Amino acid sequence: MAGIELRNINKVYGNSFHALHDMSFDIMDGEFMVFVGPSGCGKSTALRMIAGLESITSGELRIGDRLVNDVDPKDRDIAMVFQSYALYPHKTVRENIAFPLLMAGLPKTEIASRVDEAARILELTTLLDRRPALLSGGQRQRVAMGRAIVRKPAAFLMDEPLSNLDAKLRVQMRAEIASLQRKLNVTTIYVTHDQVEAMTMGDRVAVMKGGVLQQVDAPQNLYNRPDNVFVAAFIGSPSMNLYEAVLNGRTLTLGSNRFEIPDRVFEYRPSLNGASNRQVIVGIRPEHMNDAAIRPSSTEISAPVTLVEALGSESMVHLNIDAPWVDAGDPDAVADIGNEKAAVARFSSKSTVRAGDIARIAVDAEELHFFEPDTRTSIW
Amino acid sequence: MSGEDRFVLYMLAPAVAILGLLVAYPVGLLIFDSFFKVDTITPHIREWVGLQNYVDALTSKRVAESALRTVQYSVFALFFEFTFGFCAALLFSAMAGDSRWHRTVFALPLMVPPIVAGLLWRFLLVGNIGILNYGLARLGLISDPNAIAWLSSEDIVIYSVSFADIWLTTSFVALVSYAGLTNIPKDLLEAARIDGANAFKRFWHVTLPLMRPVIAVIVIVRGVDAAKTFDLIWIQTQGGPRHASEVFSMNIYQRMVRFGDLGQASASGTLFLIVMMFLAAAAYWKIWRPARA
Amino acid sequence: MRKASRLNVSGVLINTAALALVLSYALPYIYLLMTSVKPAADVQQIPPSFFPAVLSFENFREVLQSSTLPRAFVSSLTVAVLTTALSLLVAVPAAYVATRYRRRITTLFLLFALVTRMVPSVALGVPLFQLLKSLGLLDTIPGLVLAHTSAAVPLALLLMSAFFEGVPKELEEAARIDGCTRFQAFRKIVLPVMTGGIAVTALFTFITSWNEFLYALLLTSEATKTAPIVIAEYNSVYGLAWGAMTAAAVLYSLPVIIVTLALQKQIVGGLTFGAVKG
Repeated sequence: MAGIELRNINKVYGNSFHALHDMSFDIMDGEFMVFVGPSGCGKSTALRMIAGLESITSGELRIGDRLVNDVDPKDRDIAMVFQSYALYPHKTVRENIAFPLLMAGLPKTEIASRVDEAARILELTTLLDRRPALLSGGQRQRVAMGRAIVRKPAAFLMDEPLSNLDAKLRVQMRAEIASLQRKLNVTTIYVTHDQVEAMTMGDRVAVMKGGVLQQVDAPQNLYNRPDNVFVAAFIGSPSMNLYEAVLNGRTLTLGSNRFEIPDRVFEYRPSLNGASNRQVIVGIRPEHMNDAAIRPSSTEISAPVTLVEALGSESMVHLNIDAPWVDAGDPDAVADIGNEKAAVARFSSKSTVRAGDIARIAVDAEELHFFEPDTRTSIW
Repeated sequence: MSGEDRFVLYMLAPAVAILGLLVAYPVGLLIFDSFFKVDTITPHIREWVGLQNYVDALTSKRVAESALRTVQYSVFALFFEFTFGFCAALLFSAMAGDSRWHRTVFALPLMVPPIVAGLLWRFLLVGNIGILNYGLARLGLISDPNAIAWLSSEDIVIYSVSFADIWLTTSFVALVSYAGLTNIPKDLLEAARIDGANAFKRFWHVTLPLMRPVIAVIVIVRGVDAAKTFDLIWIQTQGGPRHASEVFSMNIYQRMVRFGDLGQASASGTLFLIVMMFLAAAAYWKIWRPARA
Repeated sequence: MRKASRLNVSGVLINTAALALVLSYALPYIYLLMTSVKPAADVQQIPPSFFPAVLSFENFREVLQSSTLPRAFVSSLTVAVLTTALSLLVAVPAAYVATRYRRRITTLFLLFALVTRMVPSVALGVPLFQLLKSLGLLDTIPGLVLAHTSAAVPLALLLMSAFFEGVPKELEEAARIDGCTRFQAFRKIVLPVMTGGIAVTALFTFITSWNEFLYALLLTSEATKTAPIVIAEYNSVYGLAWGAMTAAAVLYSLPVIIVTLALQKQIVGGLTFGAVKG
């Protein structure tokens, strides 16, 4: 049980690929920290460096106040769950789980009791004498977890442990892992590319992109107060809609739409005061746009509808807002066909708009986000 | 030095030591000896002659002939090994799973020591007791059993001695090719079929290009082995009749043991090594590399 | 139903062709077997017959009762086993680091191993002769083992490298996190998973040594004569003792065939690289 500190961590590979840039943040003792980001963002690299499987080019890494830059993985008191589970194929489940304890030199009786306890927690007791080849994906995943928890380490490291499971099992395991961590109260670092996992499981989430840390915060804060355009668009599904707009005093011009920004916004974003034809990037989350005919609001814009996806509980309505669209910079995001990026709004299922209509959209203007066009950071 | 570097070094050290002592050192010695006039039985008495041994080797008629025979032997053997082996592999892959028994039996020659194979084929081909000729005569392919003097005719002996080699290594070619063929994803062939390619076109445009690395490996490995052959030919003819089946490696042996000329033999050996490396590199560039482009 | 009738024509053709091919390849070996069980006098009869007129084990008796062949077999076996052990000991760790920890030195090393295969044994014969002579190892088992190892190690390196590529590196990483040093991870986790590949490599190394003729010819005389030399010696000034020779050859080729067939399952398993996904 220990906190983990990263100070100015850099990782440069032999072929001069700079994978991690000057990363600094802390992971609290007992916290469930999620590293999230698009592919290639460095989250797995960071995890592997904490594990000791990758060397640290510069910077300091501390586990529980101990400088561990040059310490072997086996001496860092950490346990890891791999994406592919990495179960020893020639050993039984029991032997797999017992292995780290065997290597630590614990007495046989202690090993047996700890293995049985872990098997009980993870419901593996009936499978203890089987080989990994005979287990299902979900069972193997639990054996991998068993091998980790049996050690009572200072920290758990998990590298996308749920990616290889089917969707339903993933949802189930998500909850199990989260509750298990709360029960054992061990510092955990969890790597995923799925922002839903990040939001639901993490005490705090570290968002990374291109080897640079974007923001570390509790999930709700990432949602409500994203530091920059990338985090704003990455967290939340469907993504926040981002456009270039002009703010003049209290009036915002968004394409052919013009409306007033409520005073509350200027209260918690004081820098917006006194704007004179100021270029901004404005962000509107799909859940803050609705059919004005059903849920009227003081702020209204209109735009043609290109597509309606009826989900039953709500409708995803794609709209062509005629303002310049802003690319959030997510390498995994795909633009719509035809290079036109439509905004997405979550309309009530009672809405009757169809493709081709000009829709009247009620916007919850108090939930608008504003960013600087050049630095793309939030304006507060 | 990091812990990882130390680990790599320790694991590599025994192999480096063994190969260094038993291969690098002798090769070094070989090249060293090639610059001297020295007798095999008295290696400490030597006289520096620079490149003279090389000149002698390159201008010697007998050496040139043995080089030619090596080429004849290698090309002949490689051609038939490759053709038979590859066709066998194609047959086996067409039969898919049913071919397991066939492949096992086909692998039999692989387990026969070259010495035994050489003697066996000698027994099959030799003058009056060789059963091959009798078989051919019975089938009506030759007029009488003594018509073809496989091992005693100076013209064809260099090809006759390769039968044993072909018999031995066609299995190797077949099994390696088979492994390569089974690795070709079926989807590619099916897509080609839908695109309108017949069996031959599919073979030429899909199968062959994907088999390039495998073919390159076979050609390089077998080509070099064929050029190096000693035991097989020695046991059949000892290089006769009248040197007609003396290949380069046997010429080196003669020079070294019969004539006792260590310097010359070393020069020939070094030349051989250089040519082999060059050919292997050429095969790699021409056959393997284009596949990756 | 159409598929079944299609198979009937081209399938039968393919099957027949395959059968013919395989039988013609087995034929020479079968002839060797046939000849060895002919009475000694019949072996060189003119015209030669394929089948023995009457089964006789004279040839085998003659060969087994002579003092040279059984002793030579023991020498061959000893040398082959020791060569295999030494080659594996040396090549397996080297192949492992060459595959896992790629760096300039390992690439150079593999290239070096490849080049050593291109040297004709004949050319290495005399330097090896000089080397063993200075070490006092001529005509000894250890001396021949060293010579055979020099030929077997490059092959073992190539084979084991290919097999190691098939093991996912996460297994060793998990082991290192579970408390193993790099070497312990290699010994306790990687090696047990590689038994198939090691079996295949051991087999080929054994065969390489068992079949070896040239070094045995150059580097041994009376004390450690191996089987191939003895077999070649049946060709004496008195002519070739074909009967005895075929019997000796059959005996000599049997161990390899038996071991290979016995290890069939291991070999196939080894060749699919252990299927370690999980």
